[in-house]
Amino acid sequence: MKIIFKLSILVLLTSLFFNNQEAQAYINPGSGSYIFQTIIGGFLSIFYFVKKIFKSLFIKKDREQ
Amino acid sequence: MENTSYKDPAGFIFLYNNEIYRQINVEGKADYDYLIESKLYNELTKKELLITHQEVSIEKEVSKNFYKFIKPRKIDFISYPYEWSFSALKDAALLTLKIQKIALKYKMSLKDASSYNVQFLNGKPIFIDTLSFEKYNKKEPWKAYNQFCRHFLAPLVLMSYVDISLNQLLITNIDGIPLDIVSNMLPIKAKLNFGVLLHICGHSKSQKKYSNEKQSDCKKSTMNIDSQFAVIESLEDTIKSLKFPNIYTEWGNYYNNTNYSTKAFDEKKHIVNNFIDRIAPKTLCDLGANRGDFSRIASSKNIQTLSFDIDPIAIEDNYLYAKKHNEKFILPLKQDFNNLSPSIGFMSNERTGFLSRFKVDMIMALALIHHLAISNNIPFKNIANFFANIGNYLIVEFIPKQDSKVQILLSSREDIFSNYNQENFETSFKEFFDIIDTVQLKDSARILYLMRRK
Repeated sequence: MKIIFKLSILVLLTSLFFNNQEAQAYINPGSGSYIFQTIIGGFLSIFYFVKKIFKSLFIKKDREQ
Repeated sequence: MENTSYKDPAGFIFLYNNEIYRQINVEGKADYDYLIESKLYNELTKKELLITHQEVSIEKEVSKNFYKFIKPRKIDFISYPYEWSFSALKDAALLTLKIQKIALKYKMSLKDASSYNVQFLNGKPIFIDTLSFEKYNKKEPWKAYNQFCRHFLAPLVLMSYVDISLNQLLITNIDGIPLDIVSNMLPIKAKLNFGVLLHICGHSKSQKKYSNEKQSDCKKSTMNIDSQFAVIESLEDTIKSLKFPNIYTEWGNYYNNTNYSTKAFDEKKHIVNNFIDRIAPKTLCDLGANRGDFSRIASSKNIQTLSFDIDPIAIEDNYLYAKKHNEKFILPLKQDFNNLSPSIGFMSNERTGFLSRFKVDMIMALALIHHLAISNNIPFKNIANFFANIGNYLIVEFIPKQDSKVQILLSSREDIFSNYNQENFETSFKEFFDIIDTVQLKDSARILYLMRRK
């Protein structure tokens, strides 16, 4: 699960690396961060949601054992 | 601290009768009131994450946009991220993220995540900018994400993967280290850390890629609160994954390489203890403190003690020891006495330099003079002047030329130090100090002095 998630993020990052545009003057440092956050936020929230479920399952299992 | 607060329209810090106050402007009224009414302030101060304050009224002319005066709890010594150890910077970063997570639960958010908003109080990091909180705009990404990465993540990643001293880049980059510079400096090994790849490299690329986007287009970017929590958790995981590098430094193992016996070492501690008791200072600066063995003689007496050293391993060990033992009166900081922390920022006035920030009742300079005088060619008179600029009393150790440690310093260079002797040392120091007492260490030619500034 973790690997699939990380691979999908890697694909996303690769698209960023190979799709470079010339940076221009008057760069607003917030622009990229805003958009980047919205992109990674979705992936990360799925990852942490699933991680939480896995954790609770394993903790339950451990307790039962 | 007070010199930068003009940048925030919500309010500013000012000095009044030698006390620090903060004015809240009408522009900051809504957010400040919400911070208090929502009980977020109560939760953060109860957990000792945010500095406490009192609302006060003072007789002072006010501007049109005045709303309120508050008086924050006093912090004795202001320190900066380029002076902190690796773990201190890490703790400050985790504190900022913890506060943002709690703030989101109260429908508030940090509008900035500057490392200068964190200080150390009673041995722990604490957030000091009460006006950094604003109401959380639903579906808005974290405004301070980029600043957090530049101020905290970037120096920590460089310290962990490239060189432990690279938090010094914060001196030349007052608003954090640009992510593209960090990304270019990182080795492959660092990029195998998923969080580093994401929040530094990917983040940096996206900044370039979307730099042409209009502000209005960016503001259309939305993310729900769960996604923001996930980004913060990912930052937390990344920071926790960063380790102090496995390195060896000249001073990291200092106390195993001294040239005097355990008995002489204990005697030196006894003399220092006696000198401190005679003066009973409230604040003390230990210059060249290494892991802080002698600093702790003072801090164990509840004397606010600044424990300075140039060695990153020594200050890291010192900080971790203080943290482990919950020590409240010692603050280990990095400092190069041959090149003190400068004043930086707009008009060189945003972050003040070493000499403006650190004034104490007493200074300790043990086994330091020979490094300044011989390794750095600084005459005794200039060294004495430096000490007189910082403190009222001085405990200083003179190490004569025949001492093996001085001989090591001289072994690789020409001895041009004909003035390096006890007589010249005393003559030079007497220009700035009165000698109160002198004790020669047993089994050693080293001499400890207690002096009072003239």
